[in-house]
Amino acid sequence: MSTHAAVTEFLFEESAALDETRYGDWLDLLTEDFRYEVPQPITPQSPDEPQYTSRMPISSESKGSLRMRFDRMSSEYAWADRPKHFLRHFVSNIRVRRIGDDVWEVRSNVLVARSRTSEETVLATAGRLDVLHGNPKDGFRLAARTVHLDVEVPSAAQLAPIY
Amino acid sequence: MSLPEVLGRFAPDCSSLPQTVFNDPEVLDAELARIFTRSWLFLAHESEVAVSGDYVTRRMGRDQVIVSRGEDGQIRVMRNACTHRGTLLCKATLGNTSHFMCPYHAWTFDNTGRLRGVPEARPAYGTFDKSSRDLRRARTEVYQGLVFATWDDDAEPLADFLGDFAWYLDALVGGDGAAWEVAGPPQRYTIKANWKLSCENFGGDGYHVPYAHRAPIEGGLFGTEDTGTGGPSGRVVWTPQGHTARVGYHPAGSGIPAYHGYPDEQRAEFAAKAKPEVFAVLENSDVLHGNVFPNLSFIQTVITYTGDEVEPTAFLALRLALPISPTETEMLNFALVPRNAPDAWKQKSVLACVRTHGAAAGLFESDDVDNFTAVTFTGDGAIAARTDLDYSMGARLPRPEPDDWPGPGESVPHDHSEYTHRAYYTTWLRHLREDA
Repeated sequence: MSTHAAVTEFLFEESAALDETRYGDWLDLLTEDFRYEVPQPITPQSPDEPQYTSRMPISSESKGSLRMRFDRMSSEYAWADRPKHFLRHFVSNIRVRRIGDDVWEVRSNVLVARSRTSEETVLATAGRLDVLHGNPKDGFRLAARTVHLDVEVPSAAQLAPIY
Repeated sequence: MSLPEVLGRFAPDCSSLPQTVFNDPEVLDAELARIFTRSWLFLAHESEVAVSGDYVTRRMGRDQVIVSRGEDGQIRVMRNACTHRGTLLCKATLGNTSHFMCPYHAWTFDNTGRLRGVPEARPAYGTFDKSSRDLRRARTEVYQGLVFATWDDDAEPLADFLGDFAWYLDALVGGDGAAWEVAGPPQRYTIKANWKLSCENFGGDGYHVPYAHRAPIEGGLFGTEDTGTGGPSGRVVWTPQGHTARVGYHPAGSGIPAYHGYPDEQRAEFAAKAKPEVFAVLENSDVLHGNVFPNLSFIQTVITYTGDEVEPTAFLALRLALPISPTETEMLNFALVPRNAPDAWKQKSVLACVRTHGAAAGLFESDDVDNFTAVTFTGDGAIAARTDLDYSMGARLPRPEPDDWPGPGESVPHDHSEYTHRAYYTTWLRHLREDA
């Protein structure tokens, strides 16, 4: 299998684990030093300036903090996560670039649909910049993910999912 | 229901109030006209516009404004709309400029709001008095690094508006607002909830903590050690201006110093500048949070564990609730850090804030937003519009005798109470009953 096909399959399975709330499976796909960041989108004065800042990001998570977040959901008192939501990731525009020995920079676009109880479905799109460790033969682990939201002022519903 | 009917449903002591105050468009219109044009409103932290030419675009209520530092070093707040035909002048979130040029007909204003250029002024207008078309400026004052403005030229000075509550803002910043800076541009996000629900919650409501936040507390967010007999307790504070706060406490003798979770050097700086009574009040305290009327909330607390920290880390967040509609609010979430703290510590503090009290904080904040949204959701309905909600907690108990607690304002050592909610809505009602 080509690297591109293997990476694509990995990303599809990875987001399926989130959609299907198989959080244990999802955590197993992460390296121990995994970093997840959603920088704050801004509208700069000049189009030449960056549209995102990480000085105070929207999210900055580690494998430990995400595990704590998932553990919380098993509590009867995790109000924001009970009842559970409908979630669906659509992953596309996958671009793979080798940046080291068994280290890959993977860019993708993602459309995330979410709803909870009787709420209307909320859509959000983002660009993702991932770092993957591994190879098609042994499999991959996700080592880092940066999510560039395509909206400056997202709704809380758009911020609830992991992209 | 008409506005007078809505206001007439309030219990005299605000121990009950109509749910429709969270849903009625007429109520929001009155709030915008009678509160957001008259009160001092928080706009920005001074460090966001650190040097001449720096600006950020914000809102006062629903009015678009620019907060700008002029070449003279002074911070001004002005309408972000051309005085010609109303075009939004500045579309950026932040930046640095000496002038704002209107994209429609190129009227150009300097960053103090003065109209400097009108193309073809002489041939097109004959005589034209540029000074009559300066941007409308709001009166602006800064307290402890917090930039406030009001549209009301007759409003009392900011110091009088803050009154005794200034003492608590002093406590928040260790007596020296200039020692702080924003970690970065604030988080911005919208919630499907009325703007007051966040403010009344930040202003007190110790009652919700063990229940709404049971899961993260059991998860060890604030530590896992046994806090001894009696468990945590707290005190609520309020002033006649409707400003409210809560100080949460560990049991006496827990040995937790004031400004726990800050680096030793910063704690020494606070000790040199803050009043000794502040240290007495913050000893054994685990949280200080509150709300400056109408919509600036704040929280300072210590996070022990969000999955990988070892050292307890403090953070200070400011939260601005800006109404979009009765049922939708834009939140701005600012993290403040001591300017001189090591960069690595600042990052830890931001992390503690972002993971627990941020826009996407799954560990704590999400449960609050879920509740604010759920209250707003049930407010839609014919029966809902005629339903009153209960804010009576503590109102029928004898008011505790004043004790020797050194903080100013009115206070009671019962944070599982709704004294602060009643104080907030008493002020709210006073404003709403004034003629527009």
